Amino acid sequence: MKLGILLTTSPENENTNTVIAISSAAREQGHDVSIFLMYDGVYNVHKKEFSGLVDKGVNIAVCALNVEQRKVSRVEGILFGSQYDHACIASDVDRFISFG
Amino acid sequence: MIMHASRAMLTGSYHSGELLKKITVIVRNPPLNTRRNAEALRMSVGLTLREDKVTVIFMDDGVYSATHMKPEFINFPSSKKEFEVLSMLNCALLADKISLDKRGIKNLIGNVKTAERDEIVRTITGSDIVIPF
Repeated sequence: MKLGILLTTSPENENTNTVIAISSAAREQGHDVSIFLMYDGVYNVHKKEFSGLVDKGVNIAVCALNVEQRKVSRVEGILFGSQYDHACIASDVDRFISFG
Repeated sequence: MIMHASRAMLTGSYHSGELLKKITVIVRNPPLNTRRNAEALRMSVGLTLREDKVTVIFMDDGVYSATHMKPEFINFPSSKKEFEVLSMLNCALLADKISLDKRGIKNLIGNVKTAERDEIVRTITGSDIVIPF
């Protein structure tokens, strides 16, 4: 199953830990996971546990406009994309969860 | 946190050989203290890029975003363009009547339609994805 996740809150919000836990569990069960970060959610790219999801096979994309507005530096393995990437995730997944 | 099953197989429309999804974005925060509502509208425009059917619902304090505001007076960027694009793309823009009445709001931006709670519920339950922003 393909799982899509939208995260719009910054790392101090409990949403981040929930997304990490759900994504890790889903990957362990063999599901595809794609995460899109926008608004303050883009700050999560610099949380070690969060960016570590890439090593577990989670696809992470961020809204580059929000990244630029917040002067967040790039992280290897994370796609600095656009709202089109979000549209693709929403369109392609079987389940979609929003954390905001 | 809200989870929604993809029900495109049951509810989606058919276009160019692909099933399209119905996506509903719910705007419910006050408009001028953060960029959240403006970002919700920008995201809604983005979600149309795969030709999915996008509906925006304004509820609670989010209904203020659907009124004639002059955010530029406080150096706050306007969402006029997003409203225009969403209208151009025939995206439904619905404002919850109960939220409007509670706040005494009568005048909405031209392309935003007042909707009874029944219609709001029908829209949400008929969607494949609901994003409360």
